[in-house]
This record gives sequence, C-alpha cells and structure tokens, in this order.
Amino acid sequence: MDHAFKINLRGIIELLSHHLYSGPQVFVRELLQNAVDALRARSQYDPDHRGEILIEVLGGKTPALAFLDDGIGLTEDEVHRFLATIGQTSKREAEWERPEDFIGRFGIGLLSCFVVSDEIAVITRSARQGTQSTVEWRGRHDGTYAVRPIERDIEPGTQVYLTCKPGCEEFFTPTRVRELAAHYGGMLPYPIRVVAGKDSHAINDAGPPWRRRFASTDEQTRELLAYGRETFGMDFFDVIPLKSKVGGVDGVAFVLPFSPNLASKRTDRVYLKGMLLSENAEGLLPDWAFFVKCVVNAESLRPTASREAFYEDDDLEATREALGGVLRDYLVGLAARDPVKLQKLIALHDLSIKGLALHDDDFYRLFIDWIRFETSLGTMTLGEYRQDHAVVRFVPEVDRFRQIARVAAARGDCIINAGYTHDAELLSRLPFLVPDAEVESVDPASLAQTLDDLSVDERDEMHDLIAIADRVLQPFKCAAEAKTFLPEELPALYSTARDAEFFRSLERSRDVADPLWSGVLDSLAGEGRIGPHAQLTFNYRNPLVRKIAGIQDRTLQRRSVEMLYVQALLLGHHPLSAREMTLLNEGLIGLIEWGVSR
Amino acid sequence: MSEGELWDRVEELIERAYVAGAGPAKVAILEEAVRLSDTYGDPQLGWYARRELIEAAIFAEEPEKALAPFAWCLAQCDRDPQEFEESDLFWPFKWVVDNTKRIARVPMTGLLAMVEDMERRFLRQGAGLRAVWKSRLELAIFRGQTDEARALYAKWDSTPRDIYADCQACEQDSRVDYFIFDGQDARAVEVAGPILSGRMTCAEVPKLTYNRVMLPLVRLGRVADAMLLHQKGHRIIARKPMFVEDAAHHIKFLAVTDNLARALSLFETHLPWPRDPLASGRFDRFEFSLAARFLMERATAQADSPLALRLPKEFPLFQDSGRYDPAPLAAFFDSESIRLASVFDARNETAHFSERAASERSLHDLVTPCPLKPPPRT
Repeated sequence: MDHAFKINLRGIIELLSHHLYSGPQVFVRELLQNAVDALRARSQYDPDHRGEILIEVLGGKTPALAFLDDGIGLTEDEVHRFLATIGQTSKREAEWERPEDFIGRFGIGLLSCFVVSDEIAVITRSARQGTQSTVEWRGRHDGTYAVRPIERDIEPGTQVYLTCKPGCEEFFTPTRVRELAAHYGGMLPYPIRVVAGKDSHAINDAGPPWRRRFASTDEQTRELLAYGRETFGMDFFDVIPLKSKVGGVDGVAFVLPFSPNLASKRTDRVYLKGMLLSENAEGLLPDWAFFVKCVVNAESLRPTASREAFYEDDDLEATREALGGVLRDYLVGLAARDPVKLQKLIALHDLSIKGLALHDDDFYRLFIDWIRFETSLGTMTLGEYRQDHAVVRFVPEVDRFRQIARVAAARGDCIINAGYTHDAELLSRLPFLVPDAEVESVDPASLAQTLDDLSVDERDEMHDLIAIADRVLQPFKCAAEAKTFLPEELPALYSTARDAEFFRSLERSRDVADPLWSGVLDSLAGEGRIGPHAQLTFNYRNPLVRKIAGIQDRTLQRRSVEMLYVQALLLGHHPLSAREMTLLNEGLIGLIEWGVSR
Repeated sequence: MSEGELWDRVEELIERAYVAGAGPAKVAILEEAVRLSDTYGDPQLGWYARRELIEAAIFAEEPEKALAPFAWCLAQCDRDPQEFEESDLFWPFKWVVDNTKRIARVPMTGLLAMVEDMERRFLRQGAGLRAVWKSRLELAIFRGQTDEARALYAKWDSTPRDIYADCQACEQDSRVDYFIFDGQDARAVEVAGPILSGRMTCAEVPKLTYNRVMLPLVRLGRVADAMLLHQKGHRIIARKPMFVEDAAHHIKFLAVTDNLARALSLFETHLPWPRDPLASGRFDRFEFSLAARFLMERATAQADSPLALRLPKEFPLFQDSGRYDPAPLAAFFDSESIRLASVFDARNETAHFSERAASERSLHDLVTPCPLKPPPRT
C-alpha cells in the first residue's frame, strides 16, 4: 500500500540543497557515505568480507544512476525506521545534527538525492539474518512512497537507483560521475568502480598517495610534488609528510611557491575516514602555518553538523599542536640539510616563520638569526646584523623609523625598522632567549640629540632663528634645535617622542568631540599635554636654513619656520590638526603676498 | 594617492593587523591606518579604520588608545547621523566605558558622564538598557561599593537580554565576578561551572574566569582544581607580555601554591617596565604590584641566595649582575601598590583599593603548597 510522508518533503529538499550542503553534487558524497557505513557495519559482523562499491551510469531516454554496495543491507523494519528518522528531521530543521545511528544517517543521506532526482528506488537485503527477504522502497519528490517485499533474491547489500531530474543531466554523465566519485571518495578504503556500458574505471585503487612505499626520500618528494601539481595545478616549493597520533591524522603539506595573500582563507583538502570533508577546513593547522596547503585524512576527529568542518574541541587542539610540531621539525631539519633552500623559504614565508618563532622559544633560538629585517643600511638577516653590532637597535614604528632613516644612514648607523608585523615583538624577546644579546628600542627624538653640535660661532648665527622657532612652535608642542648633519639637502628633521602620535590623535579627536568627551580626552592626556612631544631639528649644513637664519624680516622668518614645520609634518605623513591646517593656509597666502608685493 | 589607492593601502594595513593578532603591534598598524585616512581627510575611511583600532586597543590591553578614536566616531554620528550609524558604536561603547575606569587619570565626573551619555544614546536608539546596567554594576564593584553593587546586580539581572547585551559567556563571567566580590566563593565557583567545563566561551572567556576563580578555589580547599585552571590559563598568557593583569593573578596563585620558579618567570616576562607613561596609573599595574609584592615576600622567606632575574635596564632597581635580593623588591612593590591604591581611591572616592592592598597581606595565611604537574604531552 501507499503511505504518505507527513512532512513537507519539498521544504526539506530546499533546505538541504540551499542551506546545509554546498551544492547538488553532494548527493554523490552522501551515497558513498551510506555505502561506506554499510560496508563498515558488515565487516564488524563478518570480518572477512572485503566489500566494494559500484556506480553504474545507465543511459536511456531518462539518464539514471545506480549505486550498489555489498554492505550490511536493510530489513523491512529498518526501512520503516529510516523513514521515521526523515520525519523527525523536519522538527529539527534548525540543527541538522546527523543522527548517530546508521539507519538514521542512511535516510538523511538519501534525502540529498531528491535534489537531482524526482524518483528514487532502493532495493536492499539485509546480511544479518539469512532468511531476510529483499525489500523495495520507492519514493517520490512529492512525498509519496511505497515499501514492499519483492520476489528477487539479490546478494545482501543495497542498490540505490536515481532517475535524472530535468536540468540535472550534467550529474548523470560518466565523466562527471567519475570525477565526483574520485573527488569525494578517492581516499576511501573500499574499492569504487564506475561502470558505463563497457567502460569500467577503478576510482581509488591506489589509495592515498602519501601511504605508498617509496624507494627513497627523493622519489617520495618527486611523486608527492607530482600529486600536488595534479591536485592543485601548481608547482609547490616543497612537500612535507604529516602525521599526528591524536585525531589519527596523516597526509601531506605542500609549501606554497609564493607569499600567500594574508586575508585569504585556508584551502586545505581534508578527508574524514577517507571521505572528502572539506576543501577549506579551518582550525586543523596553527595560525602561523599559512605557508602550506595540505591534503590530510583524519580518522577520529569530530565533524560539525554540516560535515564540512571539524568541531573545535580538545582533540582538534592537540592535533593542531602535533601538526604544527611536524612543520616545525621540517624547518629545523631543513636548516641542517639545505640552508640555501631554507633561506629561499624564509624569503617567501617570513611571516609564518616569525609567527612560529613567537610561539616557540626553541625555534626562536634556532631561527632568529636567519630572519631578514629592513635597516637604515638595507635589508639583512639578524645574524649579519649581530656580527657587526653588539647592540640590536630598532625603531618599533614604521613612521618614526622613516623620520630618522635618512639621517641614520648618512651617519652609517644601522637601525632596524621593526614596525612591521611581529618584528618589534620578536626583537624584544631577544635578550630573554639569546644569552648576551642586547636590544635597544631607539627613540628618534633622542637620536636627534646625538647629532653633531654646532660650534660657538655657528650657534650665534642660528640663535635668533631657534628662539623664534621655539616660540612659534610652542603651541604645537614642538621644540626647536639646531644641529649639523647629513644629508645636506634635508633642511630640518622632525622627530617625535614615544606616544607623540597618541597625543596628536587626542588633539585631532578633541577638535571634533563634544565637551563631555573632549574633557575626558584632556584628562587622559594628563601631564603629556604640558611639555613638547616633538622636536624640529634644523640642519646647519642646509643652505636654505642658513639663509633663513640670516633674514632680517622677522615676519618672513616666522613664516619660513612655520612652512618648514608643516613641510616636515607632511613629509612624515602626519595628518594636520585644524590648527596646523590654518598655519599652512595662512603661511601659503602670506608667502604669495610677500612674493607678489616684492 | 587616489581615493582607490588610499582605500587599498588602508585595507592592506587592516589585513596586516589581522595577521598580527591581538597586541600592541596590531594597535600600531591600525594607528597608521587611521593616520593615513586622516591625512587624506576621508571620514568614511577614518571611521572604518578607527572601529578596528578601538577593538584592537581594548584587546591589546591599551584602553587609553581606544578613547580618542571612540570620541571621534561619536562626533561623526552627531555630525552626520545619516552617514554614520550610532548603534554601530554600542558594542564598543561598553568596552570603552568598562576599560576607562581602569585609567586613574580620568576623573570620576568624566567616567559618570560617559555612562550617562551611554544611557542617553541607548535610549535614543530604542536599545535595551541591560548593557548599561552591567557597566554601572562593574563600576560599583570596581569602586568597592557593596550596597550599590547589590542593587545594580538585581537591576541588571531583571532587565531582558537584547542584541546589545554581552554574550552569554561574558555575562556569566560577570556573575562570577559579582559573587566573588560579594564574598560568596562557593556560589561563584558553581556559577563558573559552564565556563570552566568549556560549554561557554568567547574571545575573553574563559581566560578571565580562570583568573577570578583560582584563589576562591584555594580558599574552598580545592587546590587541585585551581591548578588545572592555572595550567590552562598559563598556556594562554605565558608568552604575551601585554597580559599584565592576568599574569598578576597567576603569580599570586603560583606563590600561594609555592611554585616560585614559574611565578618568577611570569614576573620577568610581564613586569610592566620600561614604564609606559601612558599606562602609569593603570589598574593592571596595581594588580601586578600586589602580586609582585606577595611573590617577593614569599621569596624573601624562602631564598637564602639572591634571585637570578633578567630585568630591563629601565627598571629602577636594575642590577648589572642580574642578581636580586627579594627583600628590596618586595619593599619596592609594596610602595608601588600603596601609591597606586591612593591614586585610585582618590579618583574613586572610596577606600577600596587601600583596603585591598592591606587585606592581601594575609595571603600568606592561604599558602597551600601544591607542586606543578608537567603539562600533558600531546
């Protein structure tokens, strides 16, 4: 007799295809999963049973597919039970937990087929009791189905028949079926064959390539790189075998041949018990490991409800640690084995290396001297730097580094620009981890103090200019000073004390904030508001500066100082406050007027 | 730079900040992004970069650096409410209010005015006040106002949750905090259950809850349970010098359980020196001084030779030899904690901090040796 689902099947199919699964092709994964579950269940019951999965592409007026397995099969009773599970799922649409039991999972897996097929037939015979008869189930997308015993003795197992829904023809062609079977099931431990007419293809006879036996490490590397090229279409820099006892994980990590885009998502290919789980699973590798792309299989991690990622738990964390350890050991080994290759790798992936060094003290000690830094005298490794300099000097912000880089370089001072990701943090750890290493965070303002002083005569020549500049710049919390330094063409050096940018940003916010908030900002600035937090150091060597010092016209001299100040700010990419903007405008107009009226 | 190039450059900085992970480096990168957008006077971009900066500053434990960008963003909403959505700032509003109380320089009048402003803006947008009550409750706890805290707890607890309320895990953590403050250790530990079992987590929880619950557990005689929490928390903070306040809790716990070696290494890494002038008078310095005082007193009682410590040159008691007698260190942190306590008490108009500095002298009575187990191998 005919029964009717008491649920809205269309709604469920809609939900499955648009929300739970990544696309219609997932039905292949679901049917393979059903078959694998059935084969596993059977081998528990009959350990000698080998088991295989056969997919037949059936031509004809309406294309059709058959999925056949010789797994445990279902009794009539069990068929009714999986239908009951389908009914229950509708009440839990919000949380698509896959049922724990095999029967329930079977039903859910079957549902995904309605996305590509309007009619599904299941012919099954249980291997549990020899007397079980064959059962046929036919279900339609409108929610009607029929179950009946049939007079046909098939071998125990399950056969699922799908007829093509109009518009889904692409999923019923032999090429696409082979592709999808290999995509999802290429690592499955049971042989899969796809048969179309006389054509028969074994899908997974080779097993995971990293488990093959190789004659040598070189051969292993060559073969696995070839596998990487085939899988991802690129020539990787290197390949690292992966293994973790926790989570039962094995696989390979390919070292990317380019510096990855930092914002991009991970694109690892992850299998769970041989079935493809995800091509962009997160969380399997440590944060810093974005220099590799992996193919791995996990035997005992827990998938999320959608079966497209892993559930974040202690096991996943331990697995992440273990895999991080493998990558780390690879890098350490490479240092001993092939330093030239390691240097190339560091050049490509310095951010990963730095991230790992921050995370792991022993690694830090081994690698810190290999890491390259930008300095006022060009790029060099920390090892090269430390060979020539007892104290490692750095400026922790890019902008402040730029303030002094030219002057430092002209003096032959080697100072590191540690304003990039991880750099300042790495260098600050140096004295804790490397015996006798000394580091110094350089304050550009104090560096300006060490420039050459003027002679007594030169001081006299500059005296009035400095006095005026001090007065003019006082409202901007900037002190004036004169020194003599290279490069000659630099009229003035604007350097800020630590946190100067912070005070400047308070000022900018104060300009716009309402009284309540500007009051809070004032109290925050505290004593920092009183003293100068920047310094404009005039360069006596610069001819323009000496000319300005000699001007008798005080107004013009003042204007010139203001313009040099604003120019120094702009050169350093400092946003102007409202007041400085006014200075710029008035100064320009004033200079134009002066020029025109001459 | 064209507008497109400017956006690209700022985007790139924000991406770099993303990789940098929470900490001062991230803050510095985002400050650069803000500076860049201001240089070219693009308020939309400034708004975008500043919202990132506010969050980064809070999570890097540099609350001072969140205030200016926050005030700037509020001003944009007031200036052009069509273009800048005020309610986008409600979540950061809580962070800013809750963290500004840790900066002693900001006076109580300013702090109270901030909470008033928060309430006014929440009401104006029709948002629920649960978050506002929680901020008031936390302020009362911070000031040590027991009666006010009780009343505010009831008020908070009875206001319905809405989208601006903290996440469940954070709210649970606040309950734990309240019960400890109220002297109800057993209740606090019970309430902490779902967090400690890993069922409730977020960006801040369970790290904060570990800190809070370790000593109450020792007081309840459950040292082994406390040790588990220490091990978990230690993994999170051990390498991050920015977690000064967290380190203080763990140092205290380690000194209480007689694990001085690990306590000293946390002390070395987290010692907030060179003194950052912005951060002087910040709450975490107070907590750290209290913990360091206790640690050095324990070391004085036990050590017969000077301690070997790697301390920075800028530290006032720095020794070239790297050898330190614990007694002068204890005295130094004693005077630091008393100084900071009086700074905060003057601001808070209460005596809570001085009372804490006094009452923690009895931590010595709590000492319960419990050896560290080696961390589980993975």
